[in-house]
Amino acid sequence: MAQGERTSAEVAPADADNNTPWDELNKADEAPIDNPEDTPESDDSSQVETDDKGDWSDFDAPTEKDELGDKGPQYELIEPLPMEELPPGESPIPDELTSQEIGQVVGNRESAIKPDLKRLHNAVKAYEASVFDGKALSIADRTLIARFGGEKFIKEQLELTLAQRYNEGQVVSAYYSNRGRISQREMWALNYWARQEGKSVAVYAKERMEYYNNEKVRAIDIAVTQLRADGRFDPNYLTLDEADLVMDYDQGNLEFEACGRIYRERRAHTLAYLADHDRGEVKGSPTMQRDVDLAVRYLCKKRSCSPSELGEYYRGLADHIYYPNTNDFAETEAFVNGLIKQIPQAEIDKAADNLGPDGKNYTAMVRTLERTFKKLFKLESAGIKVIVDMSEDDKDGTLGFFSPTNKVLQINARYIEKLMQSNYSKYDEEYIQRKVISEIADTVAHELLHAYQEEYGKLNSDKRSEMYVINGFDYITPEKGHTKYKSQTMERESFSIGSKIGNMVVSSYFKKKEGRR
Amino acid sequence: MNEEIAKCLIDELNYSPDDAKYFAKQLAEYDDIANEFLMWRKNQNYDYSPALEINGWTAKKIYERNRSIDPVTVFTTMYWLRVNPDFVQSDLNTGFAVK
Repeated sequence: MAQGERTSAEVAPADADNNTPWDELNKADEAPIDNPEDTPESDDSSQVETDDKGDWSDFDAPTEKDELGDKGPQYELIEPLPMEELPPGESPIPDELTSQEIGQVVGNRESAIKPDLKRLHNAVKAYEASVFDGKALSIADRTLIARFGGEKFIKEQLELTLAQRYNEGQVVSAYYSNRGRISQREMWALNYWARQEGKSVAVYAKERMEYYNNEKVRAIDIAVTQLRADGRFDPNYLTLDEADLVMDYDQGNLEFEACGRIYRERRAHTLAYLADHDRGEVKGSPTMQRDVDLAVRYLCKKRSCSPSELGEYYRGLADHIYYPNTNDFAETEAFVNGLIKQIPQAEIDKAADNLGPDGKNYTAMVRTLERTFKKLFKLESAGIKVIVDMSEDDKDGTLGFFSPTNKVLQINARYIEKLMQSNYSKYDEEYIQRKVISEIADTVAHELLHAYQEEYGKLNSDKRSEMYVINGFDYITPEKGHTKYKSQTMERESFSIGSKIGNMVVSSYFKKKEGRR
Repeated sequence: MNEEIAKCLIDELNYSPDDAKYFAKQLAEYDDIANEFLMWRKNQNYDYSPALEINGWTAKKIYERNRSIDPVTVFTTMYWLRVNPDFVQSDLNTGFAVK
């Protein structure tokens, strides 16, 4: 499922505690904030007095390169802050000025706006980190956001920033694997463009999907179907559209990696590449190699196999993956139990302890479990980033996900909490807390096992790795039936380990809690 | 009963023959669950009584967790509640959320 080498566009969390002169300036302005101890999600920034713009001229802004990197600002001021109060409808430039004077006024205005852009950049960075990474907004951040008119304006700027990154191919993985879902960041970017074009997000996204379906994916489908029907997998039969697609893909120009497209694309690559390999002519771009090297390794192992024999073997494994019998379930349980046995109880206790006395420090628990599982699964150097999403957004039934493309794993902790509170509203608080802790721990273990499956599939060539690879190619989305979705090998294992770890953490937490009473 | 259920899955619920064969086997493994499935087929709802209860869950309660799930998911969940409740614990907690 490693679909691309393009890097994730994760933004480093805002350095909210960095002591800049601006922070010093903000400290003087802390008084208007009613309750600085509020959670970052509480939108109390509107309570800050915004009419006083303050003296910004003494702000020693970092250099543009420090602030913005090589990319430069990725947004523009949609509505620049008014530099002076003017009656509605009145131009800031008096009519009687000469063109030279007008130039001077505009120049002054631009030079005044430039430092604002840098502050805006800080505000957007802090806001992004609070939304996507659950990082708390400092008082300085909140004051800064309030100075720009509140979260609504900053959100708009963030959407624009994401949309620009998205169009530049920086926000790449977007949806994860072939599950047809998109990341929150990409959702924001889509939101922005949909709004710009006056369409609903659904309509806009669908149009983009159709673009790929009509223009490129269909061509691949036809070509590959024909090749397969003819029993010839000669890469010379690749159509221009296929070549275009490969080129687009290589250059990182594909903006919206629709699930069906990737599935077909990878199939096309694999078939073409296997044919090459079969004739002893392994060639093609490194990108193609990246995508299919697993399949080639698999073929190498069985060098004497013809493609049809390979197909038989594939079908045998596929049955095992998608139609598991009782023995296969028992095998899954044994595999998962074997993994769990390797986890010291002390690690589970530590994760439970880190929830804190009120059991609400989900991020700390996730981080402990992250370390434990990364060690267990030997993922320490795999570059997998775990994000704990504490935003209030509706995640539409998704508790978490792992994106193999950009190696990002997200746990929708706040959403899980809200979901449990809603599902078990008639139950007591402790019961709900059990469910919340269990589900968050469950999701961490579940998603990290997916990360393990991805890495294991890449690095090994045994039957298990082949199952992961094939399952990755033919992943069953929940839309095709929930039971079938969770019966497939990768999900079967993840659901199994998740429920066990969830129970272990809950049991440890409440055992300690009982002891404290 | 296995064949009757498989036929129902193919003809009425648009399952592929392979999928139908696989899930019919699960649904038919226990007579009480199979009978409940056929009861659903007859009534096209989960309001019949007496309703089978496994670990405190009836088909109707499972369905009410998420009204978009199909009957095969409802009754295979009952199957798993009997065979390996851990496997469906998260589904029931979260209303068949995805992860």
